[in-house]
Amino acid sequence: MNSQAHRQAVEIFPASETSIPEKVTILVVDDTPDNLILMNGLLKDDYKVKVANSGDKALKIALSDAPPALILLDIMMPDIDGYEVCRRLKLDPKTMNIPVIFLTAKVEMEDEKRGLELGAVDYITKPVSPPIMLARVKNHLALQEKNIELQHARSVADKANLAKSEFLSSMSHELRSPLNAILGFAQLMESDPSLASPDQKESVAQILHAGWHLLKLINEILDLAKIESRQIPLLIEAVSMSKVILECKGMIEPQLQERARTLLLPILDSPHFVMADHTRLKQVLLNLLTNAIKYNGKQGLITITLEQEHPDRLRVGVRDTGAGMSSEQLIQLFQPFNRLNQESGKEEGTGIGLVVAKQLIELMGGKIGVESTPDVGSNFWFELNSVETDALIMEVLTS
Amino acid sequence: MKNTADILHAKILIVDDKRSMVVLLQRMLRGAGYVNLSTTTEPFIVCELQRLQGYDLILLDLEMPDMSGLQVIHDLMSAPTPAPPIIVISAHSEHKMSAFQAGAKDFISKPFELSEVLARIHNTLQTHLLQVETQHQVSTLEHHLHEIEEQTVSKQS
Repeated sequence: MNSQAHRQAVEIFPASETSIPEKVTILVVDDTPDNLILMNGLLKDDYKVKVANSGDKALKIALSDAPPALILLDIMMPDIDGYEVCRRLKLDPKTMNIPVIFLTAKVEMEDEKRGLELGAVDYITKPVSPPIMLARVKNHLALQEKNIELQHARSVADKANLAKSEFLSSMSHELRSPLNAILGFAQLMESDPSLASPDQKESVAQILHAGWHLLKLINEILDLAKIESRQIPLLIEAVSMSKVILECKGMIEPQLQERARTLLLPILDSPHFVMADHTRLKQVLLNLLTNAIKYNGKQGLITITLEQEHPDRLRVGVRDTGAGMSSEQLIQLFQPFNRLNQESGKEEGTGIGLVVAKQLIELMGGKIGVESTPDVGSNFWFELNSVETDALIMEVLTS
Repeated sequence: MKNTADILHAKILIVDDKRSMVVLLQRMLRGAGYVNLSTTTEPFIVCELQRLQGYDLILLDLEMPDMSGLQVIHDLMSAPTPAPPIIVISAHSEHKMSAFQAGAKDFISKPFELSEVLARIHNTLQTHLLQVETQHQVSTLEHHLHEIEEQTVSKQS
């Protein structure tokens, strides 16, 4: 078994184990033939050398089907000089990633600065010391190789992430149709007057309850997938936190009454502008408030606080008088599918709400956190960049 | 206002490739008192059915393997016989705008609440039947006007 596995591994990667790496190509550009001969002599043992005696020819070779891995470029040349060659190479997507090393008799600091600003990786002044020049070329080629590997790994990761988001998105759509049949037929049974036995009614009610919960879960997973793959455009603007608090208060009023919770608001005598996406900010605050209603004690109290941490940072807190959490439990918060809900058992949640809230607050340039004391309660808070009302009015007046 | 009996006698066509959806909608509507219900799982024949039957409302799925619901709307809209109001029922809420742009009167996301679907169907039918009645009255009035004009002309001569 073991030996077979080993043989297979060898069969899969025979080339990389045995073949001698092919020599990489280096392009040397210089209008002086003697320099080209000299450089060719230095490089030809380790590399495949191509030469060009003008900027024009250099660009042709760089753009050909067999581009060089690195370019050694003279600056002072008639017609197109080295700076211009480098500028054009960096403009073209086909050649912009080829490392360029200037090899020049121009020794002024200004020249070197200009060369590096154009995107060259290095600047070697003539006369060159052969071992140092060779070492630099070798280092830059190694760096380049790592860069290409990184780019490749990144594009593989990006593709995989996109595939994951697409999978989650199409999956949640595919789940909707069968779920519609389950919920639809269960609703039909629920409204059927001939459904006599209380047990049957209870069964149908359970199917419906679980079905709607499953739908909520699917919607939240879809939302999270969209946020993670940055498919949700956020419109960041100055939003009045006071207004958002009042809007949320209106939306949770029925839940407050149903569960006999009391909500205490801060003094909202000024708008308290923060930089945020209005809809998403409301989503976050609603989530924290709904949690505070759910996981609260009898006659529970919910307090919203506003603190101006810095002149440009507003902290919004949602404090409850619930059971609180231990430090081990706190670690599990903000993680998808944490096990807190299962432990407490009584309240049904998806465990995704806080994960979404964290992602959203961070995308809006803020921070989210929690402090909790067992048997006393928890304080969930988030911070956002605030805008001074005066600054905002000035902006309006001057624009 | 149209009375409930008129609305419950409206001719409704249910189009969905999934048998379970057709049965669900049919039972839901029958339970609510609708009596003229037709169903099909074949999107291809919807236009022909409309020409022959003249429905007052079509409930249409969007994601059907052989022919998309959007294509069905498009065909209905470009047919010589007037198209009835169409309510799209779909799991893909991102298709909402294209459905409205194609000419759908309403859009219901799956999974749905039966009571909401019934309310939307009721409202759409009410508007549609009133519109049909108004059109009928206008053409009757025009007809009378025409007769009066002709009588006046013949008397004058």
